[in-house]
Amino acid sequence: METPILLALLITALPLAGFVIQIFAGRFLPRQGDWLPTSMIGAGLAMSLYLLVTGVFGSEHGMEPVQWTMTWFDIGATSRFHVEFEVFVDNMTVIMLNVVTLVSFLVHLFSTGYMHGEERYHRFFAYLGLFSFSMLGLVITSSILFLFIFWELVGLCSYLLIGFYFFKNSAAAACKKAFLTNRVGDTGFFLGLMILWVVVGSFSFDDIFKSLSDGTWNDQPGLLTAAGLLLFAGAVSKSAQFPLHVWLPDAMEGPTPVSALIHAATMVAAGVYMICRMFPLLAGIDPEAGTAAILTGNYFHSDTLLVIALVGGFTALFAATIAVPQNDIKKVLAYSTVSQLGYMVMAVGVGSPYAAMFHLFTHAMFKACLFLGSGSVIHAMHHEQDMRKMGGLAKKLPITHLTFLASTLALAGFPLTSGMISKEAILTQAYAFWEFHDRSFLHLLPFLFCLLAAVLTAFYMFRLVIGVFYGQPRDHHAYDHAHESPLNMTIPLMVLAAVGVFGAGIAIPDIGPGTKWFEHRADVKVLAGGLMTDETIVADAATRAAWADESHWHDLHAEHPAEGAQAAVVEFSHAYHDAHWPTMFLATGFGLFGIAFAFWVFKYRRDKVWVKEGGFLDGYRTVLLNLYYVDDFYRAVPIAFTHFLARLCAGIDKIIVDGIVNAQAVITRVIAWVVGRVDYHGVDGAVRGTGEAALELGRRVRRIQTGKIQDYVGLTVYGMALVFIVLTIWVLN
Amino acid sequence: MLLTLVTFIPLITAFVVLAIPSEKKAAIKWTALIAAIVVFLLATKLIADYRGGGENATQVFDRQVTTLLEKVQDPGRRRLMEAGVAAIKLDFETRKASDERGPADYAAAVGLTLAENDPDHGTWRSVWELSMAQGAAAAKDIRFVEYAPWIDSFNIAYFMGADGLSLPLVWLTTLLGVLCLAYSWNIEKATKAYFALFLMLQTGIVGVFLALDFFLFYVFWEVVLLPMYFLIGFWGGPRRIYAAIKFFIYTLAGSVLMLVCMLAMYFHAGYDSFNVLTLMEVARGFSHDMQYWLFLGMFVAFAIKVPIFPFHTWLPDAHVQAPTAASVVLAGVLLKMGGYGFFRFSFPLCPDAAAGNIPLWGSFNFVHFLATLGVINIVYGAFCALAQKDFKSLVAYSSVSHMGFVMLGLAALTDAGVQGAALQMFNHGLSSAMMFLIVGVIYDRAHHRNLDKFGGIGTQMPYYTGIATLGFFASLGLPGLNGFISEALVFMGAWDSQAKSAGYPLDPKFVYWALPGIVLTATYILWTVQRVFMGPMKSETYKTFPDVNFREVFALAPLGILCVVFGVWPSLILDFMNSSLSTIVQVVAAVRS
Repeated sequence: METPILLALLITALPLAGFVIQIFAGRFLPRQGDWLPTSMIGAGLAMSLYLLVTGVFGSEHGMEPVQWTMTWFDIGATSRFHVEFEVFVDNMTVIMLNVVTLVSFLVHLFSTGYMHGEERYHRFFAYLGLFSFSMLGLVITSSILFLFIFWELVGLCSYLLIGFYFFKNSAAAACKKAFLTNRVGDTGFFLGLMILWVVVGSFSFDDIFKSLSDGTWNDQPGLLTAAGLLLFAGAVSKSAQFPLHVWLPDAMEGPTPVSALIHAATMVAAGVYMICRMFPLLAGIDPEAGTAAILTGNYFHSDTLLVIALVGGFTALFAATIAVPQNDIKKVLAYSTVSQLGYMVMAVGVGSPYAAMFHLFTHAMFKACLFLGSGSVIHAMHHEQDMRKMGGLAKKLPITHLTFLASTLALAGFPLTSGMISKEAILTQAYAFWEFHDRSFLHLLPFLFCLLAAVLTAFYMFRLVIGVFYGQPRDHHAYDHAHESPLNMTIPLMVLAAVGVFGAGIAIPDIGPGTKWFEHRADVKVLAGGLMTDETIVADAATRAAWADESHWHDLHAEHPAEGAQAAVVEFSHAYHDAHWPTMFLATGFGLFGIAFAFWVFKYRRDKVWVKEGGFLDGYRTVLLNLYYVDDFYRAVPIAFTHFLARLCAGIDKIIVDGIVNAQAVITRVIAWVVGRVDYHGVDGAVRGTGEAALELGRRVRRIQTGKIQDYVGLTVYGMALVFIVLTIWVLN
Repeated sequence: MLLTLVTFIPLITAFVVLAIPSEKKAAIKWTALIAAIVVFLLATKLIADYRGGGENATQVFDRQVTTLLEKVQDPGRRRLMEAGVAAIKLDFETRKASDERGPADYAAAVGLTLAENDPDHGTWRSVWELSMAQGAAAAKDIRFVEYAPWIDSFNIAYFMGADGLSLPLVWLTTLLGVLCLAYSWNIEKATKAYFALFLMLQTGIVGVFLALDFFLFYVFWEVVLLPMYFLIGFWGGPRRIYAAIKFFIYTLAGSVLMLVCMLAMYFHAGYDSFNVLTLMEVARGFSHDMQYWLFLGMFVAFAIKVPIFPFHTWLPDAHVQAPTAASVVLAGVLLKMGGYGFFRFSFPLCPDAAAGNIPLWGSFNFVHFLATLGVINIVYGAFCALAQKDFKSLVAYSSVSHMGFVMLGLAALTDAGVQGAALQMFNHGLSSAMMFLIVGVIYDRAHHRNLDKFGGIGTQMPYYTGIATLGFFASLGLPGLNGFISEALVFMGAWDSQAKSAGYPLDPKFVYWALPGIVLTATYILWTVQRVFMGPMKSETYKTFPDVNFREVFALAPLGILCVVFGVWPSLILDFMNSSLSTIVQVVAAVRS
């Protein structure tokens, strides 16, 4: 077993050990054992960093992918069903390992302060450990079945942690809603998984990708599209995309560190991670070019990807609008998360898993920081979450304020922050996507949605910052008692803010440990595993071109001048190149405009009513506060219908199905009664009748017993004469 | 010998218990529990020794022949007999080598001649039966064979044997026996009768899983009825009499049809034999008409037990009214008798019907029939569960829903589907047992089961809540716990059934229709968890509830641990079942047209 595999397994297993010890023995340990899962994940972080430094930064293209498998079970005489547990470590795995362990470790640390003194403190840490295990397992496996298994397990942890305050009705409802909403998407995921298994006969990423080029799907291209869309359905629920986004805002019922870890940085990003990993499959087929598409690099005609791009883009805008009028500090961040996840999903849809993963990485850092920062604020305000009761906290909470502001700038896409760089990568790709499709309106939509969302993001985030940290305090009592959080809570904030703002810096050419480290190491070649060999490298050149600079592209082009992908690649490369600068200016400009607008509205015109009562905007605001009535629709239609069907089935069961059984019993009893009567009066009556007849006969016959001998002789003579006559007649006949 | 011990120790102990004076309750309980533990250990030994342990049919055959021949004094006759035996063996070898597993006419003729000319008719007959049995494909996996003539005049034998299909169910039965007896420690009403009946019940169930003679199977099948009837009717809830009678008559109505089928096979096969393995060899020669009615008759008998829609309505009544431990056995293993019947009898004895060669009406064949009912069970059962207000009846309907997977997997007739179905039976045995115990625990405290009146138990009883959550999630099919693997296998198997390479007859639309069941299951389970454990406490009395005590943990914890073990490490049991179940699939698949 190679070292990276061993380390990956160890990183994953340690939190599990922490969970097991913690759930059974946690309450008996000193400090209720909070140090145990924390140190476990800390050790995991150290090992992940080791892998990052030696592996990913060890050479220009990062580490060589390594794989390790173990048979899970075998079924059937022919072993058609051979299932393996597969572990796979490549650049993307290592990057994800680092994201997860870093955020998780900091959240553990933050929780030792934030959750201090809570009831079931030890169990909270146990759940965190279980979550870390599941999430890390999801990252290291290269079997789609195991990805699904861990996928469900993180869902379980999410359920347990959202319901941590289960004695509150709202939390109880929220955790159920989260699990069930996810279950809907996961059913799709599962169906997709089954298609893959039936067609490919394996769950392994490698085999799945190989099937794309060996003609397996040739006569059933529809199934490939279906498989891609069904897998995406899983991502829609897990990454809270429209229309299954409804659970995420409610999930804020969980403790704030949980929101930071699970519902902002890692678990919700698992959906994005999954579709990035599965990108070659989603991009799979060009309906005209057949299976050759994957090898010509012509991803951009995939129907699946267009659907993904539209869903992601729409979600980005949709959630951003809802975030604007929210007053609960965590709700704003929740909708912001939905919106940012929309960006990532759209990035995959427009053909750039690299940009999606990049944004996932930067977003995980600054959004975790924002959530933990909001936790610090809530902690200071004694569990007050309404920003209308805050204000002016910048003076009281200097560290929280600065880190929060820095992360907000990153989220708003302020120039030179990581957020701006990763967002720009997505927008450029989206723009090129449009250009590439002859500027069709449908293909422009994702770009437009995201551009508008960028303005709104800057706007609502600064509304939040201004409302919480600037201006005059609105609740003096709470303000007077507010105080900065202890070090174990502020250190995580500072680390996350630093990585969140400057993390992408290493992606800027000629800065950081490796030039374009992310681009060179998380490209499709890696995603597709063994499929993309040096011989077929030109195949993914189109996507490669999306992040490679021109010279890099030309190198490739020079190496393989005669490849069939040429036209598409050249065209796309031009589109991308043309899009680069305009989108950067557009995105940055829109972001800055959003920030300025927020300051103008909430700082400068603070006391002015800027929405006319009863006007169009006011009406729209009501719609927004009602979350576009999506939840109401779900309650009124699918949920009500399910309950109706349930009552209907139960009624049928009781009245008809069981009714027939009981009727059968009643009929049997009626028949039995009738038969009983017949028996008594008829059959038994006949028997009794016979007896009575005999008696009656006896009574009558008795009369001839007179006791006189002459009577008897006479009777005998008559009788014998009668017999004689009868016999004579019979014989004569 | 081991199988006889595992089967009959509980029965003997039941009589011992009856001999103990009623006042000595502790003695009664301990006697019963210790016996159950011994049986459980023996069953565990069976599992451990299964590979290469015990004797298979061939070994028993050889042994019996040797003893028989030794008894023959007349040398001329002895030579004749040796020649006969050699002929039987040769015939068997030839059949095995040519892989032609049809009725062995030659061996049959020689065997019957031998049997008829010897005063020791019964024993010779058993030699013949065994020689026939060896030929059956299923025989290769059957170990621990025990064979003794029982009712000679009708060729009924005490024929027991275990394979990868029956052993896990036997083990589960003995495990639940221990847990249920321990859980019943607080039974004060007629303790002696209760424990004695419980032990008798166990003998019946284990016998059903081990009997390889159809008549013997039928006897055990009926033996199960009586103790359960009394357990429900005497220790049950308010409507216990209704429930007990319904349970009894419903099952009896089904088993009458089974009796008819059994006799039909006995006479129709031409060998006057109840030997299941022999019948398996002969049955493939049955006409489609014959198989049509045989399959249908046995279907009703087994369907009632599983239970399959629309024969399921005895189940909610029986489960709800039965005392907790009886519900556990009902759901845990009694329902599996029906499922087991399909695996052991319906499918191998009517292969053409099972393979979908015989249309039921129009183009709708038996495979569609089973799959349709399986899907109805899954979805309809889940909807019914969702509407229940009574905690126990919700769990009862969840059993209906979960057993639907068994039918769907069986209908698929792929390795994955059939193994998934068998595994689902085992897993459901663990998780449903756990759910009924969970209901029992809370009912003992609250004395009601109304879901709307619970709430907030989680704060008061944290350990109970932890164990219960585990059980509920196992039942929900959460990956990492046992239920997921069997459900996934059933779905994969059902879907794979339409793979072009396999050419199997099941349409994938059954999978689409069954899928909502997954969401509905999660819905009713999570809603239940929410209503019982979460939210604010709905009644002040709940504040006085003690958490689970040792007796309850003793019953619940092993099940919880097994749910995790088999969820993480399914090959433990899958490897065990693999060969036996593949054989069933092959036997049926071989006749597919």
